[in-house]
Amino acid sequence: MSWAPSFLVDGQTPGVSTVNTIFTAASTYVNALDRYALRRGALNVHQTPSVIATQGASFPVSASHSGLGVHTYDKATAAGTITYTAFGTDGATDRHLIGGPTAGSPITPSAAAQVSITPTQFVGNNGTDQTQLILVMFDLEVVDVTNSATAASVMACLQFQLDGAGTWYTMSKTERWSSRDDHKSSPTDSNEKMWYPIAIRTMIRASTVNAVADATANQVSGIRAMVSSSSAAGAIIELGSYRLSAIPLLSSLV
Amino acid sequence: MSWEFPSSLFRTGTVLDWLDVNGQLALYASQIDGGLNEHNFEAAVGADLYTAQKLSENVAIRAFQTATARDPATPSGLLLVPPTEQWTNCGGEIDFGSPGGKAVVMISFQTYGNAFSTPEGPGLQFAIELDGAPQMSTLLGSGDMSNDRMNTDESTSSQIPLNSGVSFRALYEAHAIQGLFTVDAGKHTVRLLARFPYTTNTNVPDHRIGSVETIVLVLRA
Repeated sequence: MSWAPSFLVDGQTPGVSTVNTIFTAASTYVNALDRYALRRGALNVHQTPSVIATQGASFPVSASHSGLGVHTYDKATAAGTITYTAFGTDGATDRHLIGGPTAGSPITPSAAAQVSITPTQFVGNNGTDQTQLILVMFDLEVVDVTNSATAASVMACLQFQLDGAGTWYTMSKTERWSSRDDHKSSPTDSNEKMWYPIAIRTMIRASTVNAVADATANQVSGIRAMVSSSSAAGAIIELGSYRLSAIPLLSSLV
Repeated sequence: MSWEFPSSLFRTGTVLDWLDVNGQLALYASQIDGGLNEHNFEAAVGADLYTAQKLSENVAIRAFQTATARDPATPSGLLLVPPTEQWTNCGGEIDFGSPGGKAVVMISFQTYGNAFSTPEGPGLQFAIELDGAPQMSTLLGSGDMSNDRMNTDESTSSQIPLNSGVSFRALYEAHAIQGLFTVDAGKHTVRLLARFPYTTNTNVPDHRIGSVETIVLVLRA
């Protein structure tokens, strides 16, 4: 804080003027407190008021599929390659969106693993939006990887889109691999399912947006999960339940 | 706003005790520097000062985050876990301050375990460390050997335990562990821990940690 009170000292005659000066200094300081003074630390966390964790009627947002249905993805249903290509690669050419083509799947997913951020959000306290970060949580069950003679990994990552159109940006820190063969007692036994999880937690903040665009000009409009296979031999990925959640927070961010 | 200063009104003719005045003023000053809360501000003022939104829900949050991205395709670039049965630091460390209350801790990470050459070898168990103490409520990978993975001996059809110590030893896996903790006011530290459930009678496989992201939400609830 930048204000230190004046005190009376022993032997001083506390006249009206002296006392008023002390009072006036105190009231002036309190009245001068504004948002920027607070952000500079005039008050500390003890004075932080009740803050809502989410804003807007549509938050938090989530997409999920539960139950025992299995989504099957192969090279044909993915309309092109689903082969993983490179770490941190953006776009949709090398990964397949969960909840997309589902030919061959016994159950149609109830929703795509994609959420829209409505209204779109500046992240990092720009303009009138106060969102400091978007907390993203993704959980997925991998049932099996079939039709692959070689050891196949399932890749997953989280992406975000800005301003409702254009590139889906991969967050490289969320890229995850999970290998098939050593999750099974017998990799060649088609009757054995794995049902192992892939769990990702991440945070979209101003620096995340600034890595690919301008956090003061571009707003986060969507988040989605992507899955692909490391095998180029037409591996078929079977996925179980999944849930993708995004929660914009008004939190202060350290 | 509640009346803070002076705590007793001065009236005409009152003989002021300078120690009393100073004491009241010092108390008021200390409240400005740590003792006021939302009850001392009108709701409309607070809404403008703090959020430009609305005040509701008795929760305040401060968020902390650290993230390290490592390409899983390059195992040499991942963090090698020391071959020990003791809990060891695997990164994702965050120091955070709390006014006292709750803290939500999430650690999401990629693992690499080159266990193919030693199929009987152990894998890893994981936990969140809070202020130097492993939080066993977050243990990932049970110590219950009855849950150990079994393999079928092709020649005898008998079930053979893999002796993985109910740990994670696949070539690649993606995990997240999280917990809700009660913390005192002050500074705290969280990080990811890993250990091998056993290291005897075998060569400990090469196990590594890839990308790690730690998120701490400090709640005043």
